[in-house]
Amino acid sequence: MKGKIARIVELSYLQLVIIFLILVLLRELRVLDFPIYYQYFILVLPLFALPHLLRREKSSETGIRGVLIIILIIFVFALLLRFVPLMKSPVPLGYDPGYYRYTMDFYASALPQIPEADLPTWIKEMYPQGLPVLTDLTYIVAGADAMDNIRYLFPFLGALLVFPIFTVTRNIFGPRAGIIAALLYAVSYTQFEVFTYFYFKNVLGLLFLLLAIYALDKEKYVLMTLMFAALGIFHRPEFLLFAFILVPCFLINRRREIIYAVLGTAILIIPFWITRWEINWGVLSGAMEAAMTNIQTGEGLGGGTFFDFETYTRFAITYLPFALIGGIYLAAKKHWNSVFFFLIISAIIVIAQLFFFNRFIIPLDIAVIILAAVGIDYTLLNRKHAWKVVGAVAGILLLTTAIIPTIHSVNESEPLITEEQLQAVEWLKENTGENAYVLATTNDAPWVLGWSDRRVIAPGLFEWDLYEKEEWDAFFSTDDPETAKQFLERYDDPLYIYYSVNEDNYLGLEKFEGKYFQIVYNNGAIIYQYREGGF
Amino acid sequence: MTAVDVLRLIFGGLFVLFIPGLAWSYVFFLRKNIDWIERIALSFGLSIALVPLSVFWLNWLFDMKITLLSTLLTVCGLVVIAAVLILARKYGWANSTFNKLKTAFSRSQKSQNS
Repeated sequence: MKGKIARIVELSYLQLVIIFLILVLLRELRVLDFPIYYQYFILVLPLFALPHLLRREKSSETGIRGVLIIILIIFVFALLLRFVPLMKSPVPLGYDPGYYRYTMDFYASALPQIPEADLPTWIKEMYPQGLPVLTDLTYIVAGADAMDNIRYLFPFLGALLVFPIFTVTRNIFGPRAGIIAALLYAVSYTQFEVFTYFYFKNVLGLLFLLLAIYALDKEKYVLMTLMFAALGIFHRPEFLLFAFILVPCFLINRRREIIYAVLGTAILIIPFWITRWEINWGVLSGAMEAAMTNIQTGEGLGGGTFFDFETYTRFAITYLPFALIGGIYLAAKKHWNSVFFFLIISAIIVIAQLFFFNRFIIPLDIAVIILAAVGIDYTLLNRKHAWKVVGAVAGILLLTTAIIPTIHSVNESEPLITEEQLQAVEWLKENTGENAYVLATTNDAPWVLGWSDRRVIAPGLFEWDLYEKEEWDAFFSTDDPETAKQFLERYDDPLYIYYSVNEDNYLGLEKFEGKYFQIVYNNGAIIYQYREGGF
Repeated sequence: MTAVDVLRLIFGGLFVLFIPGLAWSYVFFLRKNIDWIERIALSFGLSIALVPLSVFWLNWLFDMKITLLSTLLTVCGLVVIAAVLILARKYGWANSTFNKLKTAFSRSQKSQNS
């Protein structure tokens, strides 16, 4: 009787998967959207998968022929997806390219030295030394300037993650799961959004995090030390995440080598951290304080700029149930490995909204992809006879469904400012004095900073901002040229005001209609010149 | 961008971002132990980790200026160190040196005791 029920549940699982995927496919194609909460499937599907999953014995799966070719094809596909927006417009995607460009140029202009002492605090807070030192070296040896790194190196590294994802997954769960994980990464909406947000450090952090997990699993502790140290100098949130992963791994394995690796990492990152000790400590203690506040109040403060978990579950819904299946499989079989802790810890940070939790969706998605590959492999593809065909069809359906929002994003992704507006910023560089200030909105400020090579005054940004939030609010809301003049008096001439004409950008241009302001450029963006004595 | 610039970009990029890691991947894994997919992943990861770490350390310790020459020497140095470690493992230098030290240490202890 028990066996019969298990058999019925097991057969229902495949049918339910097909129904679920068709429903999501219809929704993604915008054909039919039932008024149901699709996220319930994330919990329901694993229940039906349990009988098959728990009966599964260790796979005798051997290598797959032509796997290098398959991975290369997936890599090229991921690369092409990331180059499509570049073909549409030379302006990079995201809000951050200006910050990156400025930082890379700042470092390059200080060569042959590292400008640690001259760096403004915001650069020290935003950019650990790893990336700008690396781009210094690509600049010296390969002649790659900041724009080459932004345009070519970043998408290349994003696509390159196909290799470590396959490597980690294959190493623990077999080659078929590895290929599925690589495919899921290539079609993942979340990972493509990382590219559209221009999260360069995140991508490098993921590379090191995956290789650190790989090294940990292979018990190559020197390699792990190097990857852990690289995390420490490239991306602090993922450094912290791997440190958390190491704790349960150490408690279970009791390997002394893990302690040595941590000590080795501490030594390797000393010169990087010692010069910024206060800032790094501030970032870490700030994260801990945010976590404590969020636990106590449930306010969910300091999530970072990225979409929230609810949005994530909507876009990753096709593979989320299978990730849960993969997680349940590991727990049921008591396989307490690093990938399991990777999923659990990043999920806790995101779901409990501890700190920087929206940005931790990015590594969480990687853990989800790896375990979803396991779930798909073990419950859909690891079948016999006709069910194998059904499982394969479900797998293809799943990939098709997962790629639709990504394709939409590829088609719809546009830079935050137009080519004309960027040319206006470059006009500032060519037509204003080197000592000029440029006032800009928060939306425009990174572009002006990165492309104009001038001192940028913007609310709450950079070292040239002399005002409090209330003063900025008053400046934005006034229509009075005299009030605007009084606000700008604290800066010496020459001073310009840059404003890109975009829907979500607001500066209130009426205040610049007085005698102290003159339009000097007007094509997609308006540039005013300010003169204290008037024109 | 001229053809020379493109070639410099590709080969210079490989020199910094791939070659040192490729050499070090053989330190951690023998040729037969991993395939090319793992080696590619490791080569990029190790290069991007090792090169800035080395350059920053040298700059911090010895105030080494970051120039084309010093970068070339650093990258070549990383490759040479990896090669020495690979050879040491292949010919058992590390073990023999360790054994010699061990023997010398036990002899000196014996003589002290007597």
